[in-house]
Amino acid sequence: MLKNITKFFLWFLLSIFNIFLFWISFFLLQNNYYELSIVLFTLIILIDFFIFNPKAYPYRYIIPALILLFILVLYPIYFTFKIAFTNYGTGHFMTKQDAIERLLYDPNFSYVIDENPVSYKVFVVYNGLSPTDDFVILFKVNNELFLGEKPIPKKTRGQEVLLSQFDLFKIDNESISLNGKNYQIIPWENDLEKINLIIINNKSYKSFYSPDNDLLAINAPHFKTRIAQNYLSHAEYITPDGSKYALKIASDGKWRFMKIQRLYRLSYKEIYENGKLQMQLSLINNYTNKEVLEKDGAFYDIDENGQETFLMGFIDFVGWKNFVRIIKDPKISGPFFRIFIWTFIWALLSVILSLAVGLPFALVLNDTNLKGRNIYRTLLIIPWAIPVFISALVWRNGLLNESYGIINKFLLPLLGINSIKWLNDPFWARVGVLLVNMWLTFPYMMTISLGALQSIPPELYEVAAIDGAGKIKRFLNITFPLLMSIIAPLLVSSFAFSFNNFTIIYLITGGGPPIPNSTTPTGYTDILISYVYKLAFEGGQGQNFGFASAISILIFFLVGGISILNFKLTGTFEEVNR
Amino acid sequence: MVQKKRKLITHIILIFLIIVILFPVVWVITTSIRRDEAAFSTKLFSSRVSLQNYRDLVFPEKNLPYLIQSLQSMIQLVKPYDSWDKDKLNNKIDNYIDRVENYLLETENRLDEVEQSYENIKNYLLEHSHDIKNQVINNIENLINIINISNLQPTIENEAALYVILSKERFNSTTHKALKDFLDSFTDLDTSSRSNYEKALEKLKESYEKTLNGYDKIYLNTENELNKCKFEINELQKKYQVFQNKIFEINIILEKDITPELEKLTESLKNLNNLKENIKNSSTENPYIIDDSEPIKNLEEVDKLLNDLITNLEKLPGYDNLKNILKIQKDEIEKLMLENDSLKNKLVYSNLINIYYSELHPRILKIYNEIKTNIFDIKDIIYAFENLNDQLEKLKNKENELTNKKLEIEKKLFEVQQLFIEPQKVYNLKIFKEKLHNLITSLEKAKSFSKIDLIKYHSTLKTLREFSNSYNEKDELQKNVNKIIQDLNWIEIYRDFESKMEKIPENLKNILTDMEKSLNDFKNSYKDLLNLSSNGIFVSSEILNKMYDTVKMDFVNKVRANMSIASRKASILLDLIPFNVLKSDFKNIDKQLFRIDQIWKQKIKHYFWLWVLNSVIISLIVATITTAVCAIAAYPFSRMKFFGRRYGIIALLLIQMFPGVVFMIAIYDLLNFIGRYVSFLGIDTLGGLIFAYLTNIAFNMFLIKGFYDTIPISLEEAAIVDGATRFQSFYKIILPLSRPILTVVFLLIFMGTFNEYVVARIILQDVKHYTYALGLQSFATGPYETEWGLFTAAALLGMAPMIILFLSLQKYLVSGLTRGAIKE
Repeated sequence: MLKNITKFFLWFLLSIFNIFLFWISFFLLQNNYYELSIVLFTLIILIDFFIFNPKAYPYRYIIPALILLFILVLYPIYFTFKIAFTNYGTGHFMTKQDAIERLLYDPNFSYVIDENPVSYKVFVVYNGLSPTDDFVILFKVNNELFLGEKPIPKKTRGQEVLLSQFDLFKIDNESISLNGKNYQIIPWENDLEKINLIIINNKSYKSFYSPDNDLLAINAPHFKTRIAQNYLSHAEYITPDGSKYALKIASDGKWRFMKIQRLYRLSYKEIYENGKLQMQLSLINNYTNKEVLEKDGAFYDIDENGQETFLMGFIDFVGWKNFVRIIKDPKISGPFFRIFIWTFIWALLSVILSLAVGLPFALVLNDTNLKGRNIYRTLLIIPWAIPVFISALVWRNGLLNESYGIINKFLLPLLGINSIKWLNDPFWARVGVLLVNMWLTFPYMMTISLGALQSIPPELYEVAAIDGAGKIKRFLNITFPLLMSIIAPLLVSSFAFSFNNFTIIYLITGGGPPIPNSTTPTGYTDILISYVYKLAFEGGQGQNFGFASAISILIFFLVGGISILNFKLTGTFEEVNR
Repeated sequence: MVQKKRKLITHIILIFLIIVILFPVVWVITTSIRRDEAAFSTKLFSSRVSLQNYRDLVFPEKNLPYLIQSLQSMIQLVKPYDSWDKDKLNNKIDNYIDRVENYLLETENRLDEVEQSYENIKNYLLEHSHDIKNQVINNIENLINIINISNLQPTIENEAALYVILSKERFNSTTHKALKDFLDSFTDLDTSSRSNYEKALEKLKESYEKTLNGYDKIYLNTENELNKCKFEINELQKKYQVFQNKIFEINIILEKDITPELEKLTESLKNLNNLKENIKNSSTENPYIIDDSEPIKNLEEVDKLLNDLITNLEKLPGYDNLKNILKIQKDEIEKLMLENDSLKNKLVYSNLINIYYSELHPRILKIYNEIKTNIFDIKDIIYAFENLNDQLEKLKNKENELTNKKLEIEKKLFEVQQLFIEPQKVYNLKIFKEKLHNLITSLEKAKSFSKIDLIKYHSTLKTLREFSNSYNEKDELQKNVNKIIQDLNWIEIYRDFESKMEKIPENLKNILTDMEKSLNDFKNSYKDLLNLSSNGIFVSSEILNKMYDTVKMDFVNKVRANMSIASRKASILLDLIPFNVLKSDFKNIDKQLFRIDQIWKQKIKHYFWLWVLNSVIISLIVATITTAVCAIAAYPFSRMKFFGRRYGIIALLLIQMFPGVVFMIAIYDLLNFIGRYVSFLGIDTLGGLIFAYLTNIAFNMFLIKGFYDTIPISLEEAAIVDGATRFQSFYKIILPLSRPILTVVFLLIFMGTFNEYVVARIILQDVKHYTYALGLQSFATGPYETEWGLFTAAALLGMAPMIILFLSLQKYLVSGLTRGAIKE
């Protein structure tokens, strides 16, 4: 009995889960996230298959991991590859669909038909002495009064409102009832200035703002910042005869409602392609009656003189352009190759230097007769144990700082050396980051070397000693080769790690000092990954996701190559098979 | 034995290296407990230790500036007070007013204590002023006894050296008195009268001049001459420059302006001659003979002018181009003058004459005259220029000679002066001794420890320091002088301390009474203000503004600087002062002043607890979810056979190799999209960050799988035989057994997430959403770059638990990281 209930409950859960995912997947489809939608859809099918097919029993355990992997790893990989072939970035954030929608619906893309503004008056509900956001607007169009309430969002993109509208209704009586609401105008006059109060369902709206009333001018800031910006900037009021009114700044500097018309309309144009007549969608400017030009992932307006003005960019497929730029654009390729080479030097030197410091310590501490070796080892591990970002900040702020830092203020004068520009001189900045990284990573090298040294059989040394080999000879011929054969894979993965060691570079030098004459944000200590970060997330020259993704892919393949090599070295392939 | 020694050396080297390597950690610890501003200090470590930084970080005190600002916000009804009801607000305001009152009271009490301690110190020092004086006088007397003055014979050198010193001194000056013995014995005169003194100096001067051999005069003369010479050279060089500029100008005119015009003219003349050739063949005749006498005359005139020009130019070097052109022109003009008679009846000839006469002739005249003036100018200038050059050459030679001479004499002078050094040392010692005597007499007059007396001690110290700096030998005397300087140092510092301490109480008391008055006014007025404010009218209390200004401006300007100096001096005196009884008083002053400063100081606003809490919440959730997912997913990989098992895990491991930053663009975009519909999973939310962190699956799964592999299968088989399902056997047997590895994985992920920086940087923007890592960075950058106290305290609080966790998990970490490499 209990078993049945649990079973039923599980079935219920499963169906809910299915429905939920289906719904999300459709929702995504609607919002043009096709790939994510497909990913989710595949996930549902896979999960259902695993659950309903007894042969797929083992897979049931993997379902949660699978969900996370699909959404957080596989989809991002796909996305990165996709973006690398687009111009996604500053000025090109929207899909083409969104851009067109915006051009079609956003009231900012409209033009005034009638320069003569209509008079209006805003009424708000007061809370004590302070006005609230609850407002209605009374319009006077052609000597008739119309009432408008808070506009209702019509087109939205997430939480952002593209267009909100409200259909005005005519007020021809002191009190009218409409849609279950009672509207009462006090006093009932055909003059906006004289109307002071509007009561809607017992809520009273007091006169608040009108551009022509000097007494109400005191409320202008509140009207502009809280009502106009929040509710009216994307709003249209439509009279029963269909004309649209929107808030514009008039020639006298005041904010007035004017009769507007959409600037763009959609239209089909006929073109011949491959000898066949085809219909194609195009945008037409209503004002000039010219077609909107679509070029380089952006829309342009053309005026009478053939001048192009930029309207709006959208995400467009650009092919291999991002990759070609790395090689062909001299202002990018120069700094890029500098960064590329420095990345390799940085990774290589990081490994070599930390090994060079760590190995001697390991050799000394490997001596079992040394008293207190555990204490020494523990103390030496501390730099590794400190979170990297703390160490980096401590080094940057307290030790390497050019004017206050300990090294420049106390250590160098002691040695009689002039202070060093750790952050602003290209060479010393590189030395600085290498130094810090050496400090951070030598304990790791020491630890793995210690482990490896302990696995070398002592008989080898005994035999060598009998053969008369000296200490140095023993180290060169036995210890070092054996050690290297053991820790080589770890060195490779350490190389791969340094290759992408973003935190240190970013927190210490921020990639700087900058390389001059570059169109992208580059610095002398930048490695590829910090370059990607700067391209994508640091303003200044604008974000360039497309180009950043292209370089990400490059990193992707480089690191992938190194990792496969490493798996070969460690025998992970065999181990998995075990 | 050798072995033991080597061991010892190894230990010493190891310890030294560990100290060097761990220095950053030591720096963090020591800086975090410093009380002064470490970034601007000239010392690496400080003895003034306090836990104030930690207090500011962990339990930030709501001190005066904070209270006043909060009161203002309450009156203005801004966030978060806009939603409070009136009673609650009133209570809070009353509470805050009480607290402000308490702080003012506390300041007053502490100030009283400071004054008390200061009074104690003053009294004690007054009582012991006699002892101090005697001590100092004793010391100086000892010093005088040590000074050993050797006797000098009246040789010429000694006399000359004495003259060098005394020639600058007046009769009866300290120096004279000190050296009177020497002076008297050298000259056999009693110099206690002015006339004798002058006579004695005359005598000394003779020997001085003898020793110097007149070198000093020669030296002075040569130097004068040299200076004159240098001055002349300078003047000439200025002129030279002017000429050079003129020549340059003329050259430019000749080359850029005149030459092109001349070339055009030559061309025209050539054309004219061609025309003339053609006239001979022309057949149209003129009815009368053309009169060309005028133009020919002009031509002759021009020819003469040209000749003149060419001869003048020939004298000048260079200008080959110009010379050539003029020569060609001369040829052309002469050609133009020849055989004109046969042409006189041709019609075209009149044309030629007209062209020449009306068009070319004026131009030729103009340009030739221009060349003429320029050439004459340049001729003069070049002549003057050459003259100038000769003069300069001569002067420079003279200068060299003089310089050499000067050097030689300098050398000789130096040799002579070497002779003075020894006797001068003796004289200086004698002078010093005399000065010490004087000091003793002036010190003996000191009766108390007043300001005037302190000036006496100060001048004593100054004399001693001057001597110590000029005295180059390292003997008993130097050692003793330095020792006295050290002993007296505290009096000097006490003098600074006293001057600051005199100002503090009065200023601070003024400020306190101001504040108390304002606070009373505020107490009476705040209810009305609050009522107005709650009616929707924007009000802010002027009284509070004034109080805030007092705290921010008056206190800082009038009290704080003095306080910090007094506090620092007190802490130095603590170590230096020779009276142990006073130490507690100095300590008290230092302590009270520091506390007063803490009450009044505007502190940095931060959200340390919020950041730590964010980090801990994120890390806990991420660690829990990831561990759970990995623990479940690892099971089939360890126990079952299915399609894709091998390649699946390899693919997972491969994918995991890529750093998160590479995918950040995608994750950012994804979160941005989700955030539009599900607000707690968007950009700048903790939920979004947690979501982005859930990628760390493959590696941990692999780690757990490794542990599952070590659990014997027979346990599960037994359970299944007993009727357990597969899942039950996993849930009830495997999971409990693998608790150790799950704990380790959990802690590893916890640490990894806690220490993560990049992803958080990208996703979080609001300061209140920051994780600990971002918060710490904000402590270290921008305006807080030099606020090392808070930064290091926060860093230490963050790294201590992480180090402990790391060290306790060391075994697993190392085996996890080196797994596969080291095989047993």
